[in-house]
This record gives sequence, C-alpha cells and structure tokens, in this order.
Amino acid sequence: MTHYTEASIIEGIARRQNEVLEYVYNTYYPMVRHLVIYNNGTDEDATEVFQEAIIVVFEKIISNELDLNCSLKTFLYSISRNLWLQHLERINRQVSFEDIEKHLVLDESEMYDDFQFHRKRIYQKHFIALTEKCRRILELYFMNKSFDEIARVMGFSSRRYAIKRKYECAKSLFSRIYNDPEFKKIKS
Amino acid sequence: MKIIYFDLIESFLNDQMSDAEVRKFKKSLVSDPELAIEYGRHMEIYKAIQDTEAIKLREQLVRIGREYRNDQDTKKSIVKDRKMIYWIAALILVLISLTVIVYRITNTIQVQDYVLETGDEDIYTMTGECRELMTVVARQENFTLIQPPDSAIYLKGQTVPFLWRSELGRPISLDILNRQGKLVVSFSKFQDCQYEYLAMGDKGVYMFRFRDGEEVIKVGIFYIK
Repeated sequence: MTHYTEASIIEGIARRQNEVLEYVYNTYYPMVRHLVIYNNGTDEDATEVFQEAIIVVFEKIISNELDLNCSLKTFLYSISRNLWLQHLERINRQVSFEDIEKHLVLDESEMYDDFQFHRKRIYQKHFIALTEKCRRILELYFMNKSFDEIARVMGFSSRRYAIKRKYECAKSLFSRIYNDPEFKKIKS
Repeated sequence: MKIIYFDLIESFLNDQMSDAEVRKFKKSLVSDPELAIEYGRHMEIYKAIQDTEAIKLREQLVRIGREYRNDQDTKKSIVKDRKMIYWIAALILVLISLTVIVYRITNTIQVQDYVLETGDEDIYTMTGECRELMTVVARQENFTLIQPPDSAIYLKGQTVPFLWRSELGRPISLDILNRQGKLVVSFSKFQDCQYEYLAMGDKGVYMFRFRDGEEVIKVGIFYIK
C-alpha cells in the first residue's frame, strides 16, 4: 500500500481521490471502529461515524477552515469521538467513555453539536438512497433546468409529466427523511 | 410532514401557482408560523441535497466502506478456513497417535500371551530375539517330532526314520547337514509325515532341521558310526 503524507491526504480528500480515500479508510478506520465498538456501538455505527468524520474534514478543507494543530489521526479521532458522544447523548445512553488512546490530545472545540450538520447528513443519506432516476430529476431541477428541458433529457412525454415526477421524487425523499427515527429526535 | 404544506410548497416551487396564489402563499408564510417552519425545512433539505460534492464523497465512502467490510470478511473467512485445516490436521494426528497406541497395546498383549503360554516369564522382554524365540515356540506347538529321538545313534548303512505330526496346514521341508555344515539332503514340500534316510555318508554327527519356508521349526542331531 502506498504511503501518503498528511498534506497529500488532505489534498486527496479535497479532490475525492479514490486511492487516498481507500488509504484513509484502511489506515484510520480500525482506530475509530475500536473506539465505537468499545463504547456500546456496532460495526455499522463505526462505519457511519467514520464516514461522517471524513465528511467533516472534507467540508473544513473546502471551506478553508481546516487548521490542524495536531496530527490528522488525532483530528479524525477527535471528531469521531465527539460524533459518537453526541449520538449516545441523542439516544439518551449514559456511558463511561473509554478512550482507546489516552495519549491523544482531544480538541473539544471539534464538537459538532450543531444540529444542522446532523440534519444535513440525514438529508443526504436519504437522497443517496433514492432511485437513480429520481436523483437525476432532482439534480436537473437544482441545476435550474426548466421542466421542458428536464422532460427532454429524461425522455418524458411532457412538461406536465416532468413536474409530476419531480413532485413524486421530492415526496418520496421527504417521506423518508420525516420517517427517520434520528431525524424525529433531532427535530423535536 | 404535513402533506397540505408539502403540496403547497411544491406548487409554489414548481411554478404551478397563479399570481394571486403566489401572493396568498407569501402572505401565509408570514402569518402561518407552521407553514414558515415547513418551508424553511423544505429549503434546508433542498439546499443540503444540492451539495453534490459532499454527496459524491458520501457515495464513494459508502462504496469504500462496503469493499473494506468485504475484504475483512474474506480475511476472516480465510482465517476461519485455516483454523479449520489446523483442527482437521490436529484430529488426524490424534487419530494416528491413538491408532499407534492401540496397535502397540494390542501387540504387547499378544506377546504377553506367548510368554505366558511358554511358561517362562523371564523372557518377558521385548527384544527382537525374544520375539523370534516366541514365534519359534508358537510354530513348534503345531509340530511334533516323533522320530528320530534326540541324539540317536545309527550304524552306517542303516536307515534313519523320520516321523512327525504337523498341524501347520502346509508342506514343510527337511534338511540334513553333515558336521561341516554341508547340506547332504534337502527335501521340500513334504506332503507325507515320514521319511527314511539311508545313512551311507561319513561317520559323525549330523544335524537335521525342519523348515516352514525359511522359518526353522525344529532342529536336532543324530550320529552315524
């Protein structure tokens, strides 16, 4: 496996380079998995937490807010830990948190208790779960394409049908989101 | 999600309202806080799913995560298979060891039986000679020499009678050797139980032996003078 420097990892994440993301997954995921599993989590929880941590890093890089005063490993661990803590708080579970690496200097400022972040994650998760066609229709809509153009690109018979399909896809997305147990908790 | 609000917002966003309806809708946004919240949420969702870069990254991560798990499962499966092979190998070893132990115990019992039958408990050692001796003893049990008596003396020209009883169930051989150890007579595959040797050779000690193939059953001597 190729070894990457932290700078090249950060650049790779920003560019969504597959090989860098794979490297990051192989290198740092076991640490996060250990953290989650040893603190009442499952494999699936660990995967979700880790992916969210990468998204946080990505968004910080994109918005030029990434100011690393520790190693990337520590930073990822810190974010993951905070995300997992918040998750546990959301489900009202009292746990004594055991850190697997006591030597890590955790930056408490990396707390993502901002509900907007979690809502965004839920919205995007359900959007990804939509059918390919629905996603394409909504994407075209957000690209400010007219319904006539959407009908033409998607091969629909009329503008009216394109509107109907967009409505159905949006309804399906909203229905998924509003029925998500986590969303219900955040919302309330 | 209130369907009525959802439909209203979608109609507004999809330009399906008349000017009057748009005006009414905008007014409601101010006067109806619930509609305002729903509209805000609607726009928040739409904004979130327009972040195509983050969505693409999520998709990539989901795929990489799936591959990672598959890899781990494969590795686990290989380790499991390897463990299974080790267990099978261990089982085979145990079976071989047990077989050897059982064989040796059974064999010891057989040898002990021979020893007990001979009545000589001093030979209760497991050396090769002892075992050979015991098999000779076992063979001799099935063979009885009636004549000639041991160390019998015959005159030259006389016949030396050989008479025996065999329960070996197969033909046996008789050799007569002079004192130099030279074979003077050798008969193989005796079907009968008797033979007469005409003592025409030199005077002296003669040795005879009965054989079952290469295995000696009985040995003895006689003299010719």
